[in-house]
Parts: sequence; C-alpha cells; structure tokens
Amino acid sequence: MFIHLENLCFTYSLNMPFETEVLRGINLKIKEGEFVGLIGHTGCGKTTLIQHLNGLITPTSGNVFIDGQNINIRGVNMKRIRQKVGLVFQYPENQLFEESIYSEIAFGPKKLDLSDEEIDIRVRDALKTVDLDFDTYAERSPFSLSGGEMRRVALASILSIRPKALVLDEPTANLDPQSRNNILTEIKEIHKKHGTTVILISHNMEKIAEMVDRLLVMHKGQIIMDDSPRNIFEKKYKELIKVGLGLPQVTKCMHQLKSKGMDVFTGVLTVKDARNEILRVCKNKKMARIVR
Amino acid sequence: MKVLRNISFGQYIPHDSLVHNLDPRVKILSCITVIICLFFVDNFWGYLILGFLILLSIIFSKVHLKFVFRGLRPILFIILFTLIIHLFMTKGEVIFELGFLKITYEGLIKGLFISCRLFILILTTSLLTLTTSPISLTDGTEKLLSAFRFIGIPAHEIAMMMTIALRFIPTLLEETEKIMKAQISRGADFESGNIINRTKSLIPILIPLFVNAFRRADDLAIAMEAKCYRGGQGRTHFRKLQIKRNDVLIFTFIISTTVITSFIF
Repeated sequence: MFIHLENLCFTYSLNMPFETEVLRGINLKIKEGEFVGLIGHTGCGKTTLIQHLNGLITPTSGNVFIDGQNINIRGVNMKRIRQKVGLVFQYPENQLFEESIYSEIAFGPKKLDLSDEEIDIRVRDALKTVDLDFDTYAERSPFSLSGGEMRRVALASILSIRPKALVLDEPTANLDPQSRNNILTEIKEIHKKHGTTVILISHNMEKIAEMVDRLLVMHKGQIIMDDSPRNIFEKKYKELIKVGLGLPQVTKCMHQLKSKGMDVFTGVLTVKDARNEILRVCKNKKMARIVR
Repeated sequence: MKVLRNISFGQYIPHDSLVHNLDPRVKILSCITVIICLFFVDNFWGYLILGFLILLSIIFSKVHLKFVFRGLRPILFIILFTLIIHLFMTKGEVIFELGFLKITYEGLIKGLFISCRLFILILTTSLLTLTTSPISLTDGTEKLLSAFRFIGIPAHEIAMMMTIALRFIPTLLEETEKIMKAQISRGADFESGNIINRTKSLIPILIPLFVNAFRRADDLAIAMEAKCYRGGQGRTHFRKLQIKRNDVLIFTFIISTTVITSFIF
C-alpha cells in the first residue's frame, strides 16, 4: 500500500470560535501505480485531504502512512516524504519566482542536493515531458509565458523532483481547451511511462471519466463512493446529482435515452462508445422489426 | 503556518452590544483621548482609573476576555522587553544585585509605569478594532479627517486606502500560506539553516506574493473604474453616521473622566 489513510479527521481552528470540521473519518488505501480521480463539490474537503498526503497539514486525529511510514510522528524526514509525494496546487503558476525557467525547474532538485549533471538531466527531462522545447524556453523568464505555458512550467518544477506519487489539485482550471487537453495528456503519459501513482482532482467529469481507473467521491468531509468511474456513473448517478455533482454529457444523454424507453447501457463514458451502443440498440430494433 | 491563522490583533468580532453600536467617531475620539491621557498621568492611581475604564468597556462590549488577551500576546514580548531594559538600565537606589546586574527602585517604578502604559494603550486600540467593523472605522476616520480638509488633507483618499488595505490583509495572509505550502511541496525549507539562508528562503514566497499583489491591484483599479469610481467628490454613503443620545452620554462621560484624571494625577 503506497498511500494509506486511517480514520483521518481534521478540524480547522480547533477550540476557536470559528472551528470547522473539514474531514470526518477518511479511510483510504491507494496502491502504487494507481490512477485515482477525486471529485466533490466545492468545500467538501478535497484540497484539505490532499495536503495531508505530504504532511503540509497534521491531522487532528488518525494516521497517514506513505510507503509504510507514518508521517506524523516525530523524527520523520519530511523532505523525503515530499520527494515521494509531489503536490501540484491549484493555479500553480502563482508560485513561480525564478529568473529563468531553467532555474525554476531546477529549484526542487537543487534542494535535494543532487549533482549539477543530474539536475541538468532532470530539468531537460521535465521540460520534455511537459512538451516545452529546451532551447527556446530554458533561458526565458517564467513571467513572460502564457497562462498554459506557465502552468506547464509549474508542473515540470514538481516533475523534476521525480515523485513516486503525483497529486494534482485541478490542474486544468481556467485553461483554454487546448492547453487543458495538453496537460491531461502529459499527466497520462507520466503515469504510463514511469508508473507514477496519480491522484487527480477535477471538475471536468468527461475527462476524469475517461482517464482514471478509480474514482473517489467526497461529500462533507467523507468519501461516499469509491468505485470505477463506469460503475459510479452508471449506477450511482442519482446520488451523485444529489451531492451537487454532474455526469459526463454522454452518460447523461444515455440516461435520458433510457428514461425515454430506449434500452441502452448507461455506463458509457466516451462519445465513441455511446455511438456504438446506440447503433447496437438501433440494429436490434431493426432486427426485431424484421423478425416481426 | 499556524502563526498566520492566529493573528487576532486588529480582528473585528461582530456582536450586538453597547460598545459595538456606538458611533465610530465617538469610539475613535475616545480612544485618542484615553491615549493622550495615558501620557499625562504619572501616578498609579491614574492608571488604575484608566484601566478600570477600559475594563468597563470590555465588559459592556461583551467580547470574550480570551479574545482581548489573545490580541495582547504578540505584544507581551515588547512589554516584557521594555520592563527588563528599564529594570537594569536606570540609575538609582539599588534594591537587588546579581553580579553586574543591578535592579534599582527607580528602574522598577519606571519599568512598571511604561508597561502599564503600553498595556493600556494596546488594550484600548485592540478594543476599538475588536468592536468596530473596518467599514465603520474608515467611515468614522473619513468624517473626522474631513474636518481638516481646509489644510489640504485628502480625507476620502486616506479612508479609501485604509479600506482597501484592511480588506486585503486576510487575502494576502491566505495567499502567503498557500504559496508557502506550494514551495514547501517543491522542497523549500523555511525552518532550518542560519539567518542568511533563512532570509534567502523567503525569496520564493515574497516574489510570487508581490507579483500577485500588483496584479490584483491592477484588477481592482480597473474594476473600480468600470464601476465609475472617480474619487470622493459627491460620493454618498450607504450608511449615514448619526450621533445618538447614547453616543453623547458616553462620550461626555469618557472625556470628563479622562480630563479629570489627567488633571488630578
């Protein structure tokens, strides 16, 4: 078990007048190499939850184990934990500060006391992963980039640490469709190539349905569903709507077809599958008519 | 990071109480008179009366004592520091000696005096901000300052600057926390190393913070212009400040108490 959360509870401003309970008994196990999606309505505690994964927040009660190591006991080398779990915050472009993109991406590896050659290799590798050309970009200022490019540099600055698990908090928020697809493709690529464990928070149901193997749904500080996206969107869509979440457009369409009397399979996540499914049902109908 | 969350000095706690409902002008002027009075008084009895006055206001404000004293905590160090400096640095009749350290009677008195003064000073001002919302505080300031407009004090502009500054304190704190966490995730270390290294480690926080603050200021300016903001001239207020009977009574009481106190003691 790479990530193991045990009865995790967290309360903001404990024993203060503005006390708020954010996480209420989270139990979660994530294996190495899994690709997990995390969805939930705004304010349900997603961001708070992921900040526990590299020890930015200490739980009020409960335990966090990373790679078998309880990270909230004394004497744990937090740097090592943060090297294992790379956290990409929402709007990560707001954390850029260096003079050049090269030093921006080299910031993390430098803190790991690596040799200059190794740092260079990692910077080139990270830039390549996020599809930015080394020669054109390395010496430019990160502040001269477009929003999508800045986001990719920020992502690269985490990738250069080479974490075993990558946790991303809405990596595509506020991006244009093309940049969004680029970033998601890159994440998928990283997962495939290095076997990196990925936890992805997103509000984009289409993309998340398509990408992840396992979907977690959070509501009011608890994980209320933990299943494959297909099962959740097929069988539990009513609960999903009840907690303020939506379905991918195609799945919604299939559910509506079904409610109108067309006998389609509703656990469909992509347009292509939907097309095949509708054709299949239509063909059956045709056959039925012919038989009759 | 916890430090950032626990700043309660200057925080407003909404409540429905006698002190909360006072006109902000009355509160500001009372604070100023109490503070001026503090510097006239050179007698413990005077401090006792002023302290009693403040205690009374705290009780009437219904703000929990815990909150009032939490705001004092960061200043406690400064008070202790001045007390110690005065204890050892004043010449006079020695009452305690340890090696080269000498505590004098005069030092003790003077130190206690200054501590009392600082203590009441902070208590008064923090009670003002605890019981007055930033908006009415700036409204009050604007009204009071506009009395000095004839010597060229831009009352409205000062008040607007105050409003904006106060409005953005929590935002910037939140943002600092976020950036700090992001940089820690990238391997930054703010806690170990010598002073030079620690100062250097602030760069990854300060640069993004400034960049964002400037961007935000730009956006705010554009948003204000888009809403036709053209400065203070002819601008009306949503809430008109009005002096009520309570305001007059309490103001008279505080002014007379402080004036009498500073004359007697």
